Amino acid sequence: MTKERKTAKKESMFRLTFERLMRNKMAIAGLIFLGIVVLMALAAPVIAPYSYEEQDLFNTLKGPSGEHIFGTDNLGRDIFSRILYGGRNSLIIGFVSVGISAVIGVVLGAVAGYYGGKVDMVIMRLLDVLQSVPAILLAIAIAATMGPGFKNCIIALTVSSVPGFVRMTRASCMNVQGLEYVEAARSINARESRIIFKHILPNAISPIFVHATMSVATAILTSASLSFIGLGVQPPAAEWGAMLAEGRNYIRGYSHIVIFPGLTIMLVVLSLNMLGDGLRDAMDPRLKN
Amino acid sequence: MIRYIGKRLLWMIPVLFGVTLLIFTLLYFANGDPARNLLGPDASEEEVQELRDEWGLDDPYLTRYGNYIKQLLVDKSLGTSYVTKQDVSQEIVSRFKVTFLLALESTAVAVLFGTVMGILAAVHQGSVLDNVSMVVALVGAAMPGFWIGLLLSILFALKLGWFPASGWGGFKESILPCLSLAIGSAGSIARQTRSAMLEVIRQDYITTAKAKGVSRIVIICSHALRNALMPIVTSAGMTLAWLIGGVVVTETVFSIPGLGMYMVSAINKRDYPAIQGSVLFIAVVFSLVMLVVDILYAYIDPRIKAKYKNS
Repeated sequence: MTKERKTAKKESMFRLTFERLMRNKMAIAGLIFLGIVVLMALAAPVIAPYSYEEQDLFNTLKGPSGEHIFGTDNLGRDIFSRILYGGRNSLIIGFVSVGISAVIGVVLGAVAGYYGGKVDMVIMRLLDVLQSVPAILLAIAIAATMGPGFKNCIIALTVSSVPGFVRMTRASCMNVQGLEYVEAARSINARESRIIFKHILPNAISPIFVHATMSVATAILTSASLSFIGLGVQPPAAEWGAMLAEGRNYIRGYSHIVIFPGLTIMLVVLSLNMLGDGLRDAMDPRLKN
Repeated sequence: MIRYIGKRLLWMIPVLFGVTLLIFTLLYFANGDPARNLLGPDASEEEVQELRDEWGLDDPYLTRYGNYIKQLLVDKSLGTSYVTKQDVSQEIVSRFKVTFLLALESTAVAVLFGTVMGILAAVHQGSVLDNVSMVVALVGAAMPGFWIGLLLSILFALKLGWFPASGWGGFKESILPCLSLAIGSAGSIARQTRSAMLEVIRQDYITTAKAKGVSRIVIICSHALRNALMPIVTSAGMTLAWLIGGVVVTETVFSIPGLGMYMVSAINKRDYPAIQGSVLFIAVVFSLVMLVVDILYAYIDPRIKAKYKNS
């Protein structure tokens, strides 16, 4: 009996997924790079050679050198340090906004998928309204009306990414809905919340994980765009998109000022997408080609 | 089919009402005073108040929303800009032409490059070509569009001087913005195309066609591609729809006088009628593009056509 249980445990989905993920080189590369960036951003006060707002007006717009490995910006601030500190803002915006919208979206989607009927109808029609405006415009509109800033940027991104989670969760809940174990749970008179959260959601969650990973990438790109048009994090705080916005007036002759922050965004988004691809293949090997 | 289209068009009406309510409510609670903004810090309180009264900014929420809807439905007008005093709809239409042209051009480039890259990658699966094109696709999709724009203008406009760095006029001005928008989308279209083609290539009818001695080109183009078209059309449609929104940021990089620049400047000046009008207009276009994509599905895939007929 005990032996049987052990073998059953070995085949838990989480473990299988993790094992498959570990075999995917691209996903591992993404995961490692992402881990390094997160750690560096967390440790910014320790590793950053300068403060993010320390100005050196005698050394403005200097190219990369031993003293400033990524060079300095128009106010003589060290670009490498600003990227480290900016990483805190950019990553928090990305992860927090996706985290909140995933929770809201999963609950709404599960409710819509499980109950169907009028509840489903109301939720989906509200989504139709949100989705009839392109996500980036919705984010711009929200950020514009609430005023620029860190918190409002998160709210804008959260609202604009909720619909994706709702649709995804609803669809995968509806797939699981008709399976026998849900019927079994229902027949032993399990509470509805228990059926939804214990039986349906865990079995519908894998595509949501993949979507969440990719959404963080999208959120980081969108927040960079918001900052770029002046609706995101405000100076002197550092944020990758805002650094590009500040640097754009100096690209004639001082291109390093926009190259490094942009490269950082690109590499982080790339690793998130590779990790997301890897997760999708690991969770559902049938999809792999 | 016509019934389906009619139903979808009718359904757009409540959705668009929802959009007006959403954007109106957002602006109702927005910070900043459009009147003070227009008159500047030197204007007296009385002058500002007079303008607020003229625009009805102090009316209750429902009265203001009612007036807005009445203006939309009865006067069939998107309103008059606070700043330019011009009819907003006219301004939007003339700006939108630029935005739409740019979005269309970029979509065409993205679809062309994306599908060709995807097909080549699928046909030569596992080869160097496959790997290179997938890396290009991944990297392209990871770059912020406006950053690509900045890099392109550093290289091709400022260093090499081949193209103008900003402005709008002819084909030449549109090349850099178009590329900066298309690169990311081309990447995702390439990946979609590749996986759709790979799925189709393993089907029995492809083997049959090969066995019959049909030439490679014909197999790829008419047997495989036709059946892999669905996800490609999806991503092309999504690209166009997405670009109509995404152009906003690229327009500011290249100072293109499109709807995006118009909206950003309207936001900065708190020009409510212009903001409301632009968002509503984009929502209409966006919904129409989505509808066209769904109709295209039906033409590509008879199974979906049957489903539309039954619903």
